[in-house]
Amino acid sequence: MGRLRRCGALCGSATKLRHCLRWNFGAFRSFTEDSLVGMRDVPTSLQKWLPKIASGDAIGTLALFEGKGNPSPKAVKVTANGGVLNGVKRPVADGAIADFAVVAARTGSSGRESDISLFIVDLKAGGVEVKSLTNIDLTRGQAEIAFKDAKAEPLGAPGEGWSVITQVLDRAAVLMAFEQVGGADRALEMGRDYALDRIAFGRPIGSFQAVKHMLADMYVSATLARSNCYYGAWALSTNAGELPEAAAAARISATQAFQHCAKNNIQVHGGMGFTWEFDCHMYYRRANAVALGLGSLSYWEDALIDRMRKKNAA
Amino acid sequence: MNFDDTPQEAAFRAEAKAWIAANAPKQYEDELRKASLGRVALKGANILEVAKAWQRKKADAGWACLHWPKEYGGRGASPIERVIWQQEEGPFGRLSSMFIIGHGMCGPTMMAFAGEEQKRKYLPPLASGEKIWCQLFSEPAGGSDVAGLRTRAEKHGDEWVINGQKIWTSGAHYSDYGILLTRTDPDVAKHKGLTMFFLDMKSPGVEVRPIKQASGASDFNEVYFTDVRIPDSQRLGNVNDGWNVSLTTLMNERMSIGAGVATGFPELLDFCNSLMLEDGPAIENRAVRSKLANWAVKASGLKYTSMRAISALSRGERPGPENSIGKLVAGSMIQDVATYALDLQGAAGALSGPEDAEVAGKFQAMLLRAPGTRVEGGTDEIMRNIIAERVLGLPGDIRVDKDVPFNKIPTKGRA
Ligand SMILES: Cc1cc2nc3c(=O)[nH]c(=O)nc-3n(C[C@H](O)[C@H](O)[C@H](O)COP(=O)(O)OP(=O)(O)OC[C@H]3O[C@@H](n4cnc5c(N)ncnc54)[C@H](O)[C@@H]3O)c2cc1C
Repeated sequence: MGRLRRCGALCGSATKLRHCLRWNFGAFRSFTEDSLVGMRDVPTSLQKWLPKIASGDAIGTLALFEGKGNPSPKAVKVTANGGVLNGVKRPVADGAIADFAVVAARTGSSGRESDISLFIVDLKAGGVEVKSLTNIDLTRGQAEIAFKDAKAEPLGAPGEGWSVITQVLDRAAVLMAFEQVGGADRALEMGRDYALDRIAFGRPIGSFQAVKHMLADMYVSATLARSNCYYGAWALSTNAGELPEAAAAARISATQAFQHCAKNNIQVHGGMGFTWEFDCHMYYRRANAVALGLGSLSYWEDALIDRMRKKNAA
Repeated sequence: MNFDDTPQEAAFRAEAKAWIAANAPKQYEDELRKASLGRVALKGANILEVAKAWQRKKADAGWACLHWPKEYGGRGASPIERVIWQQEEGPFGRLSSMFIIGHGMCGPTMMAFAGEEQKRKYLPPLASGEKIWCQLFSEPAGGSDVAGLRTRAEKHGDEWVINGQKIWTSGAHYSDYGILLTRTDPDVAKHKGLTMFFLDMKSPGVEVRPIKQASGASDFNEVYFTDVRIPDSQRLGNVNDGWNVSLTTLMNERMSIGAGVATGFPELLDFCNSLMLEDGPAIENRAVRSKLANWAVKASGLKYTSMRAISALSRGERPGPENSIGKLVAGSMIQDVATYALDLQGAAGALSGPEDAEVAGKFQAMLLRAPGTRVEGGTDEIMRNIIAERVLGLPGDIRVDKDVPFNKIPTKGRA
């Protein structure tokens, strides 16, 4: 599937949270695949996984984080030595259902980005312990993965891990942003529908300006996000030099839009919005979890300004 | 406003402090301190029992509902003394959460409208926590528009027969009594056909069904009434004057939800004080500081606003609609604070629960409970309407349901 079409599909499946499975396996898998397939020479370590990913027989994930904090080479403590990994990754999205992981590990101690390399680990093999973690999003699992002398095959050249991660995160940011925009749109649609149906004081609540303006503001943030996302999708599909900046912009505005729409969708629903039965909370949970998965809003805000500054200086 | 204790106030504070030091359930202090909005639970103990025991102890020593008259289980204390007590009670005050509705809303309503004998009978066990009360106002068809409620009360001899359904009733599952707003005349304008009662929640025909909340907990309920009989002596206020009675309850509700309402700021400040970011301590980071400062002044603004309200109260002034500000500000603030606390944790911020998440999942629980705060006791939008119309004197919405008989008001949205 082309990247542009994939963006559209992510956006579409996000609008129907009831189709959790499609959504679940959407963005994360997509970006893992996307970045792996995107590598110039497919390393031998990948060859056994690619057909299985394509046929849906295997699920891959990216094991990057080690506890709290944002993506950073300094935060990578898992070590790779003599073909085995040691250390703990958490949280790892879909970690409990994944068959293999691309793991960022430390292969040097110079204090530079070049200390980080990527490895592929078969999660069903020995030396790997996977534990599910509770998280605010009930429709996408998170796990802790402990490596104890776990066999690992290098992916890409040693010391190039971090530059690949950075590119992967940018690509992922665009794809995930489409998921976020889809979620924002759906939350907006739910809120609008409810505002048309719910009667208070003898009139539809959507006839109160307070409710109208709340919905109009949701529309505005979702629309700005969608436009930023389209630009990001263009940059992604053409490998444009603008990608880093476009990706950060898409990520930020989509994160804001989804959080904003999800919380105010609950507000429009009043007491109903605060029940388990109504889907509002699923969107609220997803909006807040997905806002963190590739690094938090603050992280991307920083990245955006850095990138704009670099471009202006160039 | 004077922020120093007078000599009497200082003496009162010393007495309260000493009594709390000698009597509070210290074994739970740590857990209570760590508890957050949306999650007060004690490991290996039943929170309801611990709360009731603490309340009982306070009541026996004259520290329960201390602003209530002595004969109703209080201490006859001044509003200021009540604030001093709350300051000294600190984290143990969190054990009072299941009494808030009874003490803050039902009690004052009973005080204003029940007969003397009833007050002496029902108020002391309410003050001591022996009996818990709930507020049965909201219905599927009437939350913001509570006067749109449909639960019917029909007079049969000396009794009223109740049929209908309430929803969102906090604590109904462990309550002994409730105050109940009903419709007694559907042929007149909606505010004019309501009547208030109090009832025993164990009455035949009352069925309580828990509702699972968005946060996963089940603190509120649906309550069904099928031919429930209430003696006329348990009517509060006149027949068809229930709206006025309910205003007493709701104003007290806004006071009691608004006054001590959590903002999340102290927790966030604490968290930032110990958090290391990639480039150093969070508390030294400019962006973090800017956020903190912003919320700090909101929190202090709220605190001093409520102190001004208490000063006014102690001068004998009535609490007014301006008290709606507390919950309005704090509700969305706590949501934003929690979101930011997760942001600072990065990807791990999505983890939740006491075992897997940072600071025992405090901020995740806060995030998931916060949407309820923006709705309960009057939504943000209703609070803004109150401020605009009742404080600023702006004209109200044009009302399509005004002076229309209740049974002629439109009930359907888009066709
Ligand atoms: C956690 C929790 C605990 C609760 N506990 C209790 C309890 O113990 N007892 C009890 O009786 N009730 C309780 N409630 C109910 C609560 O009071 C109502 O949910 C609330 O008043 C909103 O009513 P509603 O749910 O019917 O929403 P609606 O009134 O249908 O509101 C839906 C939306 O329309 C907006 N809206 C409605 N009217 C207007 C207007 N005129 N102008 C502008 N906007 C408007 C609202 O702001 C909201 O955004 C509780 C609710 C919650 C969430």
